[in-house]
Amino acid sequence: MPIPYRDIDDIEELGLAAYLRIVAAGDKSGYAGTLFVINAHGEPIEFTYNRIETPHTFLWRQDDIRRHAMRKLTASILSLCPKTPRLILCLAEEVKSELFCQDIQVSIPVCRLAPAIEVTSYSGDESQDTLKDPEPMNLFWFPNRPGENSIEIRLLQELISRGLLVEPFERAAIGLKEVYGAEGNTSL
Amino acid sequence: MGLSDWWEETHKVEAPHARWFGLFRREIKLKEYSPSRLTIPPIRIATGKSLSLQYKVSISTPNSLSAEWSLTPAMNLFSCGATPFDTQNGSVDLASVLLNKDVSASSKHPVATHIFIDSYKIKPLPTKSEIPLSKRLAYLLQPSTDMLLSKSGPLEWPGTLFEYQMEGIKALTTHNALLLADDMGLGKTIQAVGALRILFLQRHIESCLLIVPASLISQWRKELYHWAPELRISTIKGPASERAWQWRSPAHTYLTSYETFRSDFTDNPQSPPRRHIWDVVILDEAQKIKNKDVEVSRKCKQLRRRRAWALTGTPIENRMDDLVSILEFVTPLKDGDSPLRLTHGQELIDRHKRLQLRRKKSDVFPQLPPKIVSQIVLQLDAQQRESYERAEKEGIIQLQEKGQTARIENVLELIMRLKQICNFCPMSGQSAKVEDIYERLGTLESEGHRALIFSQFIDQEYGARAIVSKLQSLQPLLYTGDLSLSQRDAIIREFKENPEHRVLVLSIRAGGQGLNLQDASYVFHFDRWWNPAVERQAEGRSHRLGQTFPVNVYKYICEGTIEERIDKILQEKQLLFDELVDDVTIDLKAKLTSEELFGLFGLTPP
Repeated sequence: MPIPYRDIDDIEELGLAAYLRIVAAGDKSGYAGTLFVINAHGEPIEFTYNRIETPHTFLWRQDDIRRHAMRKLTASILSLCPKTPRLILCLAEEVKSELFCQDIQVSIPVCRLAPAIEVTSYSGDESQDTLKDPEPMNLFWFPNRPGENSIEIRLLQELISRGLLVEPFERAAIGLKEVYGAEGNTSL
Repeated sequence: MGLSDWWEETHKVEAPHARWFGLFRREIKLKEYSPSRLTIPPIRIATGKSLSLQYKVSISTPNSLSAEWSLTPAMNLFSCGATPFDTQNGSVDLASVLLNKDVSASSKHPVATHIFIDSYKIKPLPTKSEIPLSKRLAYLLQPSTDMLLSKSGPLEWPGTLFEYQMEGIKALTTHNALLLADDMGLGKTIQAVGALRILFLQRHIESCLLIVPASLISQWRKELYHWAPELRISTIKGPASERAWQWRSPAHTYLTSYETFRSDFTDNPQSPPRRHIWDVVILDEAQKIKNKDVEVSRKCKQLRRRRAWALTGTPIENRMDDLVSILEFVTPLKDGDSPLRLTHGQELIDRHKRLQLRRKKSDVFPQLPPKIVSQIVLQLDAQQRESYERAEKEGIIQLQEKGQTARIENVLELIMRLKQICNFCPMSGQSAKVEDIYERLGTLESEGHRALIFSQFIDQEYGARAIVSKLQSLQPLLYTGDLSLSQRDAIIREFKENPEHRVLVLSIRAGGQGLNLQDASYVFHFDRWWNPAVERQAEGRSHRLGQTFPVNVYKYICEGTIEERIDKILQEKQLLFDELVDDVTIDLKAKLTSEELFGLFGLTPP
């Protein structure tokens, strides 16, 4: 009998956050990705995953293959997500700006996260924001940072206050490893 | 386009996925797979009394099977569960899925199928390959215990957990069998509740049976509500007809007393406590089952359980057999297995070391104010002395007259009689102890301190009631075992909330364990109990977390009486046992030999 949270109404009002994780296979044979959806308290709601294999060929620039693969992979994952999250969070080092600025259009804010000490490229279509606590982070929003009192920002603040800004990415990676690493489909 | 309209692929910029090579247009050839989705639907517990699980399966796409269910309270949530299917091409409903439950019925069905499994039959934990992917993911995707315990984690904790408490919670969550033997006052209750909360949240467990002393039921309820407000508790108490539906109420945790549990655990395998395989069984104050031959002890050990936790600050009260009995419980019991039987020896020692988690106040809480134990040696006044000596003399003569027919019970009777006279003179009602305590309490009152007075007796002539009537001007409150549970709760609440009551007089058996009485910093042992461990437990009501003053403990001993002689023997035994079993000591009544008991009166046993 799963336990309903005490302040369940708050959770429902804040909605869901989706963590997009795309990980390259160790042998460069492709990518595995997941959209890990949690509620404002970090409770897992959905875990949608897929993988895609890329060709080993000199005909194409690796960057082009990566971009094409990520687009296809992300589209396939999103195609199976009936729930609409409030926002999508992803790691800037994994998800380049073109994915959501050019290849896939979403009606919800996308936030790419990068540690402040890392050099990160971002598009002119994105707006930059910084976070000082709990650790310095750069946040690249597309299309724009939601308003201060918006539900998306309240959700983000709730996640931050509960230590859930980055931690779910780790859980998502563990889940991917369990799915593909254990079955040997890809050496993540 | 996907299942929803919140996203779409765009073609604002032509992505370089195709290129002309002379006359040929080549595209990047990707090997694509179908995505999979794992749904972990939040479940709302509806009200009502339907006893069935109803499933509603909707098929969205060939690759997406979304199972939704409305859960109505089930009489027996433990006996049935939906078995998810392992799939690469479908979503899996994970509600009520326990990682450590029987998965033998799992299969790779191409469509959603719900298979009821008989969870009564516990099999060895499945290997990783036997556990469906969905279950493994359900486990891995939950927030970690560390994170759940973190102040900034997803769970709101109503108070600060100390480091050692977090370690204790982690130990409980990771051990199927544990004897939590922390010193009194270190928060064993909170640790157990915290561990339960996390295990329920992580969906590792879905049922718990919590057996506690009757006097502590309301305190456990309070702590459960405070520290794990999400959990639904069913308290089993009252007449049998009420208990029947209390056992049937859907709840995470069934809370009951040892006495009620003993009544409701019958020979019928369908009697409520026997009906389930409990995910956790917790015994609070587990020394209640120290005697392996008593009924409640045997019944506790017969409970089928996946986890067994015993909580007690005194795993040995009297002798090693106490520990043996408790450790026999601290082990999971599978269906069809017989309860464990242990004997003295190296195996027992090894097992004890393996299963006991014990932290002392001084180790984990050096900032706790000190406990200062003093003896107050008093002289009986002339009349009380005369009564005492007459009773002793007559008692010894009676014992001598009995000759070979004298029994230990006769000696114990005499000891009790003499102890009573040390409390109050049967002729005049005067008491050297009351006179002393009255004077001390007057000083303490003026300094703003409050006090607890423990006595072995509760009667109007020699015990707690007599003390209360003598100290009326201090508005003392009385807490004894013959009060109802609600009356006892009211007394404790009154003492905590109304500082005008400077004194609480308690019978040591009823009030010596489980209560949190940090408001008082002075403890008086009006008479001496047989067992120093029980005295220490009583002192622990005050000397515990939350105490801000040094705790002063006073033990009354009347000079030249049986109390002095008993104290001497107790001290010797205490030293001996401190060395043997980590500061846990003995029961005088149980440990004194016939020679020692008769020797108290200069007699030799027949």
